[in-house]
Order: sequence, then C-alpha cells, then structure tokens
Amino acid sequence: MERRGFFKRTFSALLALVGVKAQEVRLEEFREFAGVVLPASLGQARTDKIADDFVRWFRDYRAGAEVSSGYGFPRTQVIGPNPSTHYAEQLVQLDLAKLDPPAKRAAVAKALEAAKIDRIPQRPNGKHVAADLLAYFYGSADGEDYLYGVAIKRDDCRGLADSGKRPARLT
Amino acid sequence: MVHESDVCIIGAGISAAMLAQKLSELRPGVSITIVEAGRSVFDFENRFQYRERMEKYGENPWPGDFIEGQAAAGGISRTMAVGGQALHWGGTCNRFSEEDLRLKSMYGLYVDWPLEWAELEKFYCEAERRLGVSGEPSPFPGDKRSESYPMKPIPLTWSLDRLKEWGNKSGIPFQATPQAKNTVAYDGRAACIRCGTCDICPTGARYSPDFTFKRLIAEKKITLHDRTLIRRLMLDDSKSTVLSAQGVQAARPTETVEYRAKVFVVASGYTWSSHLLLNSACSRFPNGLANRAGQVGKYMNGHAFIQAFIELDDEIYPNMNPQYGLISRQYFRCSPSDPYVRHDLRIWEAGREAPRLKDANGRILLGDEIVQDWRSRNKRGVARVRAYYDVHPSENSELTLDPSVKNKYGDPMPKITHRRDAACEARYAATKRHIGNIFERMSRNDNGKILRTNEGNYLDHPAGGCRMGTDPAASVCDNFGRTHDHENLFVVGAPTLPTAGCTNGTLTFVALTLRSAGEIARA
Repeated sequence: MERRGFFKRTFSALLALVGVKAQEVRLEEFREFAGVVLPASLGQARTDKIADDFVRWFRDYRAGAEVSSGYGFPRTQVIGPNPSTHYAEQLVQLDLAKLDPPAKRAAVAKALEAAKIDRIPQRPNGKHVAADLLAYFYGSADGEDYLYGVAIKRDDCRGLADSGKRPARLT
Repeated sequence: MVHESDVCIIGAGISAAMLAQKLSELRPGVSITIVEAGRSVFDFENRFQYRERMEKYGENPWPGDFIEGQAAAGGISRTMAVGGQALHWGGTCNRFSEEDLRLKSMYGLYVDWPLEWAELEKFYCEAERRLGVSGEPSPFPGDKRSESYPMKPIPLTWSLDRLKEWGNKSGIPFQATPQAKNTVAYDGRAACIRCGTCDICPTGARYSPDFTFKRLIAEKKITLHDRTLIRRLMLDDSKSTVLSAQGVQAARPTETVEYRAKVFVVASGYTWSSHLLLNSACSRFPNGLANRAGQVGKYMNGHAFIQAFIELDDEIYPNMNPQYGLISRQYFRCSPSDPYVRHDLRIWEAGREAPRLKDANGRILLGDEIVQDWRSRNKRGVARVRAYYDVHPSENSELTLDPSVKNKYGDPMPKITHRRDAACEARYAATKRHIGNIFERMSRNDNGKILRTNEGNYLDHPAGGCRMGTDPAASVCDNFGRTHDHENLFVVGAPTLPTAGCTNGTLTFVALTLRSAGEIARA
C-alpha cells in the first residue's frame, strides 16, 4: 500500500512539472484560432472572451490534483497532465494567419482528422487544441446556455425565488 | 496514551453527530469522545473555491476525504472523514413505509423489523427537525405524518414543474422530494440559493454533520479525535463488556492509543462497523465481537434500481436544480394478494445529447455548424426516471475480511459481496417487467419516447451487516442497537437495518440512531 501511495505521489509531482510548459500560447493567435472553431454567431467579443477564459483555464490547471473518488465504484485518482502541452506547437502547424476563412476551416478539420478525433471529448484531453477548445466551451455553463438558447446559468447560485420561472432567452 | 470518557463513539458520520447531540441534551455533563479515522474538513469558508475548482476542473471538492489503503472492495464510497458520506450526500430525506417493517407478516417474505411503525414515525419527525428537512406531505393515507415538515418544500424549477405535470398525466401522483436543505434560515444555517452543487453546498443550506460537530466542540460537549483509526475493541478480562477501544493516530503510527468508556457505540457506517467487530476477534470471541451467532457482516443490503431516459414534447432544461427531483410513493405499497413488487419512482430533469464533432456522413463540424446540428437533433425535453426497488439479502450477502488485502497496520480490509435471497431472484423478471411497464405508461404522454433504459449494477444506499432483531441467533443487536453479546456495546445507524427499503436510507439511519440515543443515555 505504501509503495502504491509513493508511486501515486511521484506521478502527481511529475504531472505538476509537465504543467509548467502550458503557457506558450500567444493570446492574439489563440483568439484568431477560436474564431475558426467556435460559432461565428457568438460575435467577436464573446469569442475573444471564451478564448481568453480557456487560456486562463489551462494556465490555472493543477495536474496531479485530487479527483473525487466517486460513488458506486469508487477509486482514488488524480487530474491528468495539463492538456495544453502541445497547443502552441499545434497552432504553429495550423499556420492560420496566412489563410482565408474557408482554408482556415479546412486546415482545422484536416488536423482533427489527422489526430483521429471523432468526437468532442468530455473534458480537454490534450489530443488537439481544436477539440479541446470545443470541449471547454460546450462543457461550460456558457456553452450549455448557448446550445439551449436560454440563460440556465448553472454555475451561478441563482436563488429560490425565480426557480419556477422559465430561463430567459438569450438575445 | 489512555483517554477516558462516559461514552466513546467510534466513527463521526451523520449517525454519530445526531447521537452525540441528543446524548448531550439527555445527559448534560456526560463526557463523550468521538474517534474518527479520517480528518476534520472544517474549512467551510473555502467551499465556494472548492466548488469552483470542481466545476472547472473536476477536482475533489472535499480534498483529503479518504485514507489511502483503507478501502473496502465492493463499497460504494471511499469517504472517510469527519462527517462521513453525509459530507457529500444529496440531502434526500425520504421515509420508508410501514410495509418495510412488516415484510414477513404482510407478505411472508424475509423478516419483520423488530419495531412498530408508529414508534419509528416519532423518530422520523425528530430526525427531520434536527436535520432541517423541507418537504410537502404525501397524498397517500399510509404516509400520514404526526408532525409537519419543519420547512416548506424547495420550489420546483421550471423544468420540474413541467415534469410533474407530465408525470401526473400517467395517473401517478408526483411530489417534491423532501430534502435536508433549508428553504429559510434554519438552525444557524443559511437558506438554499440554488447553486446546484449540493454535494459541495457552499452556503451550508444542506445539512452536513460537520456543522453539528463544530457546534458540539465549541460548546465543549464532545471531544473529537480525528485521524485516529480504531483497530480493535478489547473486552474486560472477566466479563463480556467492552473495556476499551484501541487504535492508532495518523501522526503517531507506532503508538497505540486507548479509549476507555462505560459505553461504546460503533457508528462507523455499513462497512466499517462490521469490519471493526470482525477485526476485534479474541480468544473468547474467536469470530469477532457481537458475533457469537455468526451474524456480523451478514445480510448486507441495499436496493436495486432501473432507470430510463424519456424524451418528450416539452421545454425541459437541465441543471436548473440538478440534485432536486420528484418522487411518487404510489408503489411503496403492494397488496399482499398481488405479486410482490415495491419501489419508489423518481423524476429528474435531464440534459439532451452532447454536441458532436462529425455529422451522420462523417464530415467534421466546426463553428455554427455544431450548434445547428445539435439544435436540429435536440428539439424536445428529456426526463430521467428511476425506480429504486426493494430487494432482500440472503444470509451470505456479506462483508468478510480479506486477508490478501491489508492496510498499513496489517489489518485485513473488508470485502462486500451483495447477494439477493431466492424469493428476490425468483421475482426479478416480473419486477423488471412491472417497472418497464410504468416507464412505457409514462412515455405515452406528451409524445414520449424511451431513449434508453439501464439497470444499476450495484445496490444503492447500502446498509446492514449488524442487523437488529429479537432473536440473538439471527441478529446482532436489539432494536436499540445494543448488541446481544455485550451489554455496553451498541451499533447505530445504517448497519442495523434488516433491509434498505425502496428509497434513500439516511433519514431512517438517523431516526433509528435517535431512538437508540435514549437507551444509550440510560445505559
């Protein structure tokens, strides 16, 4: 048992070290990329904000942090490596700056195909920055509200008084 | 090191909290020591931060709430901390029904509980007062209450309101599920503000035992020793009473710490209570304490469940209050002349399908295409419907010590294997058919369509292992939790239940514990 605990702690520490590399993405470049991946209907300002939020998300990521052991079939586990390790390199490979909009879209689609990604992961997993940005957005409260077209605001503490009201439509 | 007190409670979950609180009221000045293997998670001020990290990253909102190497195979939770599993619980406070207590006399099945419904009902009321339960009365006469709920029910969300209307169209009356969550400020805790993350309630509106422990400590009514694992109970040399509890503190793993008391109460949940008794085997009780009849660890129970996701023509949104739902108690009762099937019926709001990256032709979707594709496929609402149904354990539904898996002190760890009795196995197909028919019936309304069904592959809300009874040859303790073999040793809460009923058990664990408190105070 003690040996297993030692390996787990060591693994966690290594994961934390890997996380240090996750800060090489340039914000302007990332915003441009987000404009290709996310819905244009969000508008530039919201797209930029989501891009910024995602960058902050992976910068604040704590590889090796404890995950709840769960219910039903519990097991101890930790947060995996920071998914952003290869984002900068993947963005360079996409080289979107020189391309027109259809070519940008085609480049991202090609990269996803090349990475053999068939679905949006539940959480960013580091396979490709495009899939991870989609996972981040559609896994967020904002993404959920955008799909449903209403303000559910699941991350907010919303009070009981308006509980029975239909969530407001997003404009 | 030796610590002495009047009462030593082993385990610091919800049963221990309620017991200590009531004992300190019944016997002012009584010295109570509570010993818990896990740590105290008393940093309430950090809960918003923990909640945020959980939502953003999936981090454990209760960091350090388990002990490495101290786990049960077949257990449903690893939580081991002051507060126990009720740190995380959803707060659902359903009562059982009289039928649960009269299985043998009404249906010729399994056993009757060794107490009357009217007696238990009084303690349900007390449990609801102490926990702070919000709820509305059931429409069924058999669910008659002797006291109102302490608080009005949590308002239904838009989605639950729609789903209640939908459910009721089947002729099955649904109501709000009672919750240990404040709808107004109650007992020093705030009212719910619908954060939707009840497993880490950042406001304290949902009851958790840490509040009780902190108060009792501040009032100097208890002494709490956390991070102290009790490994064995030791008998008096000349009598069959328990003399002491011996354990080890995490900070001093090589030293034995000893607790002496007039009365010992094992309040260690459905796993660790049986485990401690079995692990306390000695020359006079070679099979473990309280186990002369070989009943410790037997009749481990829980209830099975089947659920369906049903699509319907209504505007249902997920996550409006995801840990709140509806219940129907219509099937808590079953005529003795009909084939036996008893279950609750629950409805929760559910989300629709996740967005996809490729369309049906395998073409990558990006930008607005993803949203358009999702909206084209998800125009209707979705309900999650679940039935927890009553199953009864066989004697060899058991917790045993596994000598091949040991903790760092060399103690064998528990292994739980649930097995149902022959009558349950025989009626399984009919039960499944019955519940499936109800799902079908519900789906006939609002153009419903069952998307998928699945069965739980574990027994939920588990209990048992030290079941109560009148016959010492077939039970571990009496209906107060006093063990048949040791006059000053009690077991309280989940382990004492002969069966787990067909709905959440926590309120029943607490009610039984509160009833035991009177007897323990007299002891």
